[in-house]
Amino acid sequence: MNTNRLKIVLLHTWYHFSHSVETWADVFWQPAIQIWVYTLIALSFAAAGDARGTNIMMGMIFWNFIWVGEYAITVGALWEVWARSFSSLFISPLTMEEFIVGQMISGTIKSLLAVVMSSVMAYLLYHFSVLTLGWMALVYTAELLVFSWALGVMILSLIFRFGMQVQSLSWALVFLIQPIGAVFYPVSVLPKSIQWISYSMPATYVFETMRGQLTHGTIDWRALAIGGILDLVWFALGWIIFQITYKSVKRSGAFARLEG
Amino acid sequence: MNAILEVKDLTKHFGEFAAVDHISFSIGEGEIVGLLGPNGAGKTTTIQMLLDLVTPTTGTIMYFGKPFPKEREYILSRINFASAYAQMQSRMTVGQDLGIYAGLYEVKNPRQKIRELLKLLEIEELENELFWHLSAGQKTRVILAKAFLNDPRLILMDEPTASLDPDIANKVVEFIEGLQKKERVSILYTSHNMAEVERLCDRVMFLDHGKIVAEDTPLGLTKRVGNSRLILTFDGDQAPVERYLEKEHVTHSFPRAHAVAISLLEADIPKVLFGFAKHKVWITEIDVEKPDLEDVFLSIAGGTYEH
Repeated sequence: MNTNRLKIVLLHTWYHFSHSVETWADVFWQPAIQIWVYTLIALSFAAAGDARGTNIMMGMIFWNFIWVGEYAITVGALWEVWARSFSSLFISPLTMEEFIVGQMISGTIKSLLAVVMSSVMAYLLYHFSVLTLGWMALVYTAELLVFSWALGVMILSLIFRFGMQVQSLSWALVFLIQPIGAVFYPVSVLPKSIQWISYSMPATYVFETMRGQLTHGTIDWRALAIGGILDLVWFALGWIIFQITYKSVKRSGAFARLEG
Repeated sequence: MNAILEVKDLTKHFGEFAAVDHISFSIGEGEIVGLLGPNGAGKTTTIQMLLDLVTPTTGTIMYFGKPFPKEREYILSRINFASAYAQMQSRMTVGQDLGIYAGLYEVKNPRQKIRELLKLLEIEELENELFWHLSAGQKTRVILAKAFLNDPRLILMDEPTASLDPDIANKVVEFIEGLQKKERVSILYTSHNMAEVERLCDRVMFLDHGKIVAEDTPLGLTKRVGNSRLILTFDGDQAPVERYLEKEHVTHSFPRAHAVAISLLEADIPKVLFGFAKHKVWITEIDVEKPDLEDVFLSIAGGTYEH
């Protein structure tokens, strides 16, 4: 991994970001609208004397780490494919690993921007501060980001393998995580038959612990530890799948055909 | 001549289909080699394997005596690629796009290098323009600037002048010629423009159904296609012209009044002209159409090429 080339990938992402209104919309507009809607929901809950609105808002704010983190990897690659410049990058000494790690870092920065903006909005509209989570916010952030990277490389593998006809997976598939990953409600409300799927995802443990902290002021370290271990498993699995797929699509010619 | 690129027994199968079938060739320092062939002949797959975008089924690729892609970083920092089909990030300015590649190639004094190349290509004013605002000709020149950024020892060029108007295409070819002479860079060049290939290439390889079916200098290849076409305009009757050509067993036809088209070897042209003089045929106009790479291309595609 060449750190100079990593910096160049980040510079590339910044140049692209600075010229692309659509990317600003993904990072600022969409999270802003969502937090506005969820703040109104939280206010309506609060009016009925129900404090669960806070949990929903917190879920929404931290959901941005998964959504923007994953999206940055997959759509970061797709922007190059759409411009027909993807293969040109790898004709230079840049490696695919450096490109992906660069997208992970840029995804982290973009998701932090989205979360900070959402948090400020939540404070201004609802007087709710994520700082009430204290240092635990960093632990939740780390676990959710690693999960988003795992999802990103897995979904990118699918796009490499099946081509541009499945490109919409890069912004659609991650939303499957939202209902199953217990982002806004406890796992117990899910049908029993799919709860095991929820418990196989690190995000579930993060959101369950977060809700526990907000509601009872207690932190379930065991759940966070399981979430951390699952993160490592998901990330390792995602990386292995990606490496196998990348080798396979270079053999089949599908990688060279990505740009049409 | 030191081999910059050496390809041995390179093969690519997609299932049962052999896109590239056991090809071997080398490119020496400062040499421009044309890689030609009909659509589907295997040119693009060959180039993709030479750039590690497609993994070969069998065979070896060596650049500068080092195995590829094992020594990927060393090799890719010393070669480059230009194609009308591979673009740059359209949401960035030309200067930013080239700056990114200069960074990836670790070019020293990147701004100075970029400005030098843009000036050489007569597109200095485009440095702050977004890539997607450029015309096809401007894009091609920016891509060429990228291809020369790292002072490569070898450039793979896949139809760099495709879809350009003749004026811009000529400028592009002039630029390639100029820089190639100055820097002694080796080039592997594919194009469907045969005149361009004849003008640029020291040697040409023809691919057909994944195999190299002909390899020679452009002149050597055209000589193998066979006859030239001599078109003469003459004064007087057609009869003595016809009598003489039939006596000499020369293939001919009369495309219009007072004109004869003769198919013959280039070396026999003086003999035929003297013969007409002897037979008192007054020639008023002589036109010789020599076979060119286009004829070689057509004869290979048509399966009539003499190997």
